[in-house]
Amino acid sequence: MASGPYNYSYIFKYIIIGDMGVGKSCLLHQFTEKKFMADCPHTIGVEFGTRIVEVSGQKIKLQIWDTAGQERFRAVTRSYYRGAAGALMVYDITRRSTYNHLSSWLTDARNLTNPNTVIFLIGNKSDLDGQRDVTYEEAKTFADENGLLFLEASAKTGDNVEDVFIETAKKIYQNIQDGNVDLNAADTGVQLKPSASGGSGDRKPTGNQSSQQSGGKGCC
Amino acid sequence: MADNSELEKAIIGDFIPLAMIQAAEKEYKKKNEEGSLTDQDRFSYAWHLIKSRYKDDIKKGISIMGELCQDGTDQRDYLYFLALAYYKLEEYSEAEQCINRVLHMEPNNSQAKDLKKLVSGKIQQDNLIAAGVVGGAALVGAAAVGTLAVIGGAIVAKLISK
Repeated sequence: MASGPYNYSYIFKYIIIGDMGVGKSCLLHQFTEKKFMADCPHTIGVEFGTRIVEVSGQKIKLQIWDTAGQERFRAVTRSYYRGAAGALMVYDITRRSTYNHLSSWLTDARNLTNPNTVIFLIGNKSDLDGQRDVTYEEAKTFADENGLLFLEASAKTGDNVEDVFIETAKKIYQNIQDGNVDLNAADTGVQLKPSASGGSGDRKPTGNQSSQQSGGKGCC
Repeated sequence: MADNSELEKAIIGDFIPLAMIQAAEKEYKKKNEEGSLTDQDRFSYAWHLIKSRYKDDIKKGISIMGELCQDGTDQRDYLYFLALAYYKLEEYSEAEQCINRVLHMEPNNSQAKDLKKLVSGKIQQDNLIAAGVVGGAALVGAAAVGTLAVIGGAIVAKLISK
């Protein structure tokens, strides 16, 4: 997949949150491996995945932290919100309770991330329309009221999975372009890769913050 | 999905800040004094300790997590974090034992497989180093014998010339 260490210009950190069994890990797996994991075990703490995507001609590495939905991990996974540029908040369209818990997840997401963190609401299992327990319209209303991006998706068929990850990256990138993200600040969940070591000759720094960031400083 | 160095950075190098560990400790001690300590509290505190960058914390975490592991119902999680903790202490054979037990319960667990991959890599590396040390020692030994032979030869030569 990767041909060199720095064949991308930015790193964006994501977290995936939501109740147990809504399909967080399956969404991640579908996105990184383009495969559906049929019986996926409950995540232990957090799981990590990466993929390089292209947004507006920029190669961006997504570092994705997929958190365990089990209640007993709730306190533990809170430490991963810090420094997330994107938060994917997932519910299961066939289980009302997972939708009802969104306000609690949203509270955590708002309190524990920074104001520029892009929050994307995902109604997963859209392939199970016959068992639907939450309408598209009400979820859309909830998303609009709270300023969230929203899509229904299916980790099983892959429908809209690509879109939620890419749309989140586009929005983050837009925030950078608009000057809303200070690339030198800690905890923004965005890192600019150094152009040293000749990895990406064609990288075009956006704005004037080109090379102060010395790479190695991890945000996660 | 990811190579070993990236995996290691994500899984092992994922330290949590000292302030968070201290907060967890405060909470744990408070509940302990109140006598209201639950397994959830123990787990949370042990997790924080194991995610520390300091070995003493990690050891303390192992001891709490280890106690949970004996009578808790969620052994899989405890074992996984014990494996992680032993890895961080560079006690790879203990780490291997724990992660093998997780894989025995869930052979297809990708997180367990990733950690196992890291553990196996370290064990292999250690074996290579051990082999290198033995090999190196043999070389040094051979060189010493050679040197002695040369010195011995020189003495003999001197004696003869006298």
